[in-house]
Amino acid sequence: MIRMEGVSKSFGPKRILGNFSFTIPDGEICFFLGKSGTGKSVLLKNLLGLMEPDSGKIHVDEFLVNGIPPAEHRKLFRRCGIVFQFPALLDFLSVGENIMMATEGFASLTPELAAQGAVPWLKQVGLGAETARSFPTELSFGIQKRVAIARALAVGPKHLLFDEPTTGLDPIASDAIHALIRKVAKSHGMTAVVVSHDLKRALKVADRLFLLEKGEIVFQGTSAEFSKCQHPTAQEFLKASQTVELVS
Amino acid sequence: MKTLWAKWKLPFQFFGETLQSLPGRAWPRGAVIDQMYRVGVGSIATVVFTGLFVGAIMAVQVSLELRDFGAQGFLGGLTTSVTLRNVGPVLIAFLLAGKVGAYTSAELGNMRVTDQIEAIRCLGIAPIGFLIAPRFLAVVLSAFCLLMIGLLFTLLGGLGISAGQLGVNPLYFLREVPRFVTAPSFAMALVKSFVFGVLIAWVSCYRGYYTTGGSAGVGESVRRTSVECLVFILIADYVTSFFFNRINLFFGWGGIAL
Repeated sequence: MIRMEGVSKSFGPKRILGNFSFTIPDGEICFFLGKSGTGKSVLLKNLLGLMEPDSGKIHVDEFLVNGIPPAEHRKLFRRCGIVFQFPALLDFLSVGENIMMATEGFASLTPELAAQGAVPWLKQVGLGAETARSFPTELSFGIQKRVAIARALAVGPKHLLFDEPTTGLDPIASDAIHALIRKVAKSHGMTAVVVSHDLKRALKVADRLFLLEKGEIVFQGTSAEFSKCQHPTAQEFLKASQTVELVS
Repeated sequence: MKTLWAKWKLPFQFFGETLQSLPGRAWPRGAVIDQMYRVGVGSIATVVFTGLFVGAIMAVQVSLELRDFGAQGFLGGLTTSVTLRNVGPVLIAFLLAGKVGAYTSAELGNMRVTDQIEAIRCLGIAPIGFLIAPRFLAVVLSAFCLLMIGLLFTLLGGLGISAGQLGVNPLYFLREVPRFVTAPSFAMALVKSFVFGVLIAWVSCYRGYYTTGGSAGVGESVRRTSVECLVFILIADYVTSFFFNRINLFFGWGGIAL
């Protein structure tokens, strides 16, 4: 379970998160939507303890994230896998080593053993065993994203966080990544927290949607409820998403 | 005052954490060798070239001074001694700061700005043990070995130019070397090479690891690495020379210490 209680965060005079409170039960897929600069990524960083909120409390399962000690923080990181906006794979390691690097005994693994160990994780994200021996720079951006998801899964997290998972991807790859998020979350019973501005796909995948505007949560509810939401920003998102559909 | 202290203590904290993480060997298998190959092997030719020319330049300069006193017989000993104790390690370390230091700093800086370091942390891995420790070790070892190779070639450069251009018999050149290059002066060269290697590794890893601000930030880290390495190498050169001078005087070993 992920819970925020009255969390606020400002950068100088600019308020990014204003008194955020919500609870995400285990196994739910939640999308946080909002325009650029509405604090979506800041929200994720606060959830993971990469950034301290100015006030309020953040709980992830039994962990209190505020001021978490380093040893506990490492446990929290293993509880919450994150997939960054950019894949952030290590260029000097093969795909297999990238996936296996957070697993026990990695320091003694040969590249060959790492490649073998990575195969089940690669299969889960729809990639073949041959990818394990490649290096990240030899792969397309979409494949790198899949590898990043496989790497996050290999840690065995209970919650998965995604920061703009479809940035830089074509519509087909974006659909595939969203389908993968749903498949992975539901098959492992994981909570998925996705920060995005892609309403069209969020409506298909999310169990619950949050809409952020000027540091406030202005809407939370199901996809069906969002489609009927009269908030001006929700309407803007819906119109933009329909325009995209018409054009495509 | 507190902020200033926090800023100043960070490099020392980083150095301490790096040293602490070394025995854990939490880095990928073969990472130190890979890194040594990347930063070390590619620098051998440059170091050999630099060593030859540093030795040659020193031989020419010293011979000009000795000629006035009719003491060209001391050319081999004096040239080798001065080059080995001081000029050689410093000049070769400058070169390595620009080559090995800049490479390491740029590589780590790029990892920082592309979230690779943050990603490692978010997997529950300590980035210092995983990324910094093997690079630190590789840079120290590579820099030390390269400095040794470079110093050997300064001797050859001095010998070559003395025999080929200055008309000094190579046997005379070599005969005087042991008289000036004593065990303490050789130890000084070893200590300096090690200290310079540690400095290059420390500065480049620290600057790269704490890079901020995108690709411009990577450029800034590389610039700072180069400048700070040069300054710290000169300071370390003075400090080690000073201490060796004191030790020489204390034990009455003699020789030219500074």
